[in-house]
Amino acid sequence: MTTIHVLADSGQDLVKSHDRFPAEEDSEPPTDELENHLRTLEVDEANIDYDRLNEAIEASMAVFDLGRRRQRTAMDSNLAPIVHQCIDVPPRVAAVPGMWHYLTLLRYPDFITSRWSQDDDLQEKFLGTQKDLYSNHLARLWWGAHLTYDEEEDHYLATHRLFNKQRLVNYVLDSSFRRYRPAAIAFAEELWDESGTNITSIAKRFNNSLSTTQLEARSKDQIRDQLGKIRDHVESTS
Amino acid sequence: MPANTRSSKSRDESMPYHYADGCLQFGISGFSFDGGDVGSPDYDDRTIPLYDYGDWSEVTIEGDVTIGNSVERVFPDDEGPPFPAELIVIVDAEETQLRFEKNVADPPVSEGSYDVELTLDRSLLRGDVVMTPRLVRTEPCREGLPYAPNDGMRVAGGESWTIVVDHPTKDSDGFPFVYRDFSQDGMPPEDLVHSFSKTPNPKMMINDQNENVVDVLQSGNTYGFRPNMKRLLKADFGVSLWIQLVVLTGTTIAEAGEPEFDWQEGVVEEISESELGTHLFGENVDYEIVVSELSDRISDPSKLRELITDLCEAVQLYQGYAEDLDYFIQEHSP
Repeated sequence: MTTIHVLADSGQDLVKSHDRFPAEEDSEPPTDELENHLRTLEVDEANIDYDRLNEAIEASMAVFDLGRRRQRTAMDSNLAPIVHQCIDVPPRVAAVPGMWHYLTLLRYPDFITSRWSQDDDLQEKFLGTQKDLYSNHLARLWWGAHLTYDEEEDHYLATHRLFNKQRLVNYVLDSSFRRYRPAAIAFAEELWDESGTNITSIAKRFNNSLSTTQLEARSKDQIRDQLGKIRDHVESTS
Repeated sequence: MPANTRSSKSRDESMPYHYADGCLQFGISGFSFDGGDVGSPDYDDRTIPLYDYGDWSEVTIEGDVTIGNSVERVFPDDEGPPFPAELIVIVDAEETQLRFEKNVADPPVSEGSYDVELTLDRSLLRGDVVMTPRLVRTEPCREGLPYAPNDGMRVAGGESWTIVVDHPTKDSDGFPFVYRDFSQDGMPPEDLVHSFSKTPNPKMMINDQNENVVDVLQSGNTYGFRPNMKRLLKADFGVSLWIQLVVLTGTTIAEAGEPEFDWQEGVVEEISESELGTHLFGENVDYEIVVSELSDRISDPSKLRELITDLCEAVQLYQGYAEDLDYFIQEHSP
């Protein structure tokens, strides 16, 4: 049995109404006050390896130059599988937004701020929910890895490829087809080295096809094949 | 024919080929937990409520899908019966990011009834899980249009069922949003929103074919364009929903002398304790006054007109619609 900490909605409200954090530079979350808004879940078959996660995050922040967009993307690609492995919880628990709010606000606020301080909507990276997979940063890494982890072959190649391309990861995690894992993996495997413009064109045509094609009746290879044909068409007409 | 199905429209005009909407009748006969306790679905709402059964690890849901005779219209004469298609149920657990197909019948398939048994692990689920029947081509069609030309294309559908794993969460306007393909549920496919308030569990149904709207409504409660747009949409929907709820509650009170459902008592309480009540019935409003006034005004056509006008004003104030709209324009003006 593992104790999972969850920040209650009242804690979320506290952050939303805070007059400095996270908008002002060098501001910190109101940790002491937030501690009063925690509750816990006792979960079987779950484990959070904070030691390994702390080490990985610290190492990443030291190695990658967070002032450069490409480096930030590479850091996400490196960390996503580790976050998924270290936060070993079933999807039912990962679907509780308060767990991610606890982790971002009370465990890793400096990491979140460093990663996103140069982008808009920093608050969303702390408070977003799993319904917007591109919002809460740790939830984004965890769910992105969860949806692209190859269970049969036991590897995260598609996860690395997904997070290595900002346009690709944003598109996949913002789509509704992401919930069908073979589709998320097919996108990462097939489009990881495409230009951003091509990714947008291909994804738009793929989405249009879903008005008639039943996605869940297609295998990963069939979806890759379809994406390849769309790419050929896009390239021949551009 | 399953015991618990509804008829639906037989053709989806929006599809570019022959499509048999409502051809599949999906019935649920029951469900059981961990091979033990057995429960019954809510046939009126087409929901399977699992949240009042204590701890369980697995749920097994049993039912059947019947392929109706309209299936013959979506295949050329020389293709069957039996037809080159598979019968599946799509399982969509939005909160836990899980979508998959449950195979019901391998190709080829014919008109008739097919049993479905689906076992789901609780650790993979949270919130609502939607199950939708579909018939999908498994071979290309030599004849092509007006028949679905490619394998993998859906050619028939039916109404879905919703498994409610956890107590429904209420949105800030007090009622849950439920997402459905209106064309599959016998509702006007062009409509965006529909409220179901004549049942013990009122809810707002949103047509999930409006993907942009669904994305906005499912965005987080934080900041930025989508969350702000979500607040605005909810206030907008909330105005029409509250008017319906108050009128329906008043109608019940006028007929029966008191509220019938828990939600109707909740509506009366909310009116008596909020600015809705003071705007409608004055400063000294309480529960009894609301019951009495609603009954009186709804029973009398001349007073009903005045009540509707007052209600439109009060609900807009209560929902803060103007405030939300003003904030949205200020925040997102180019």
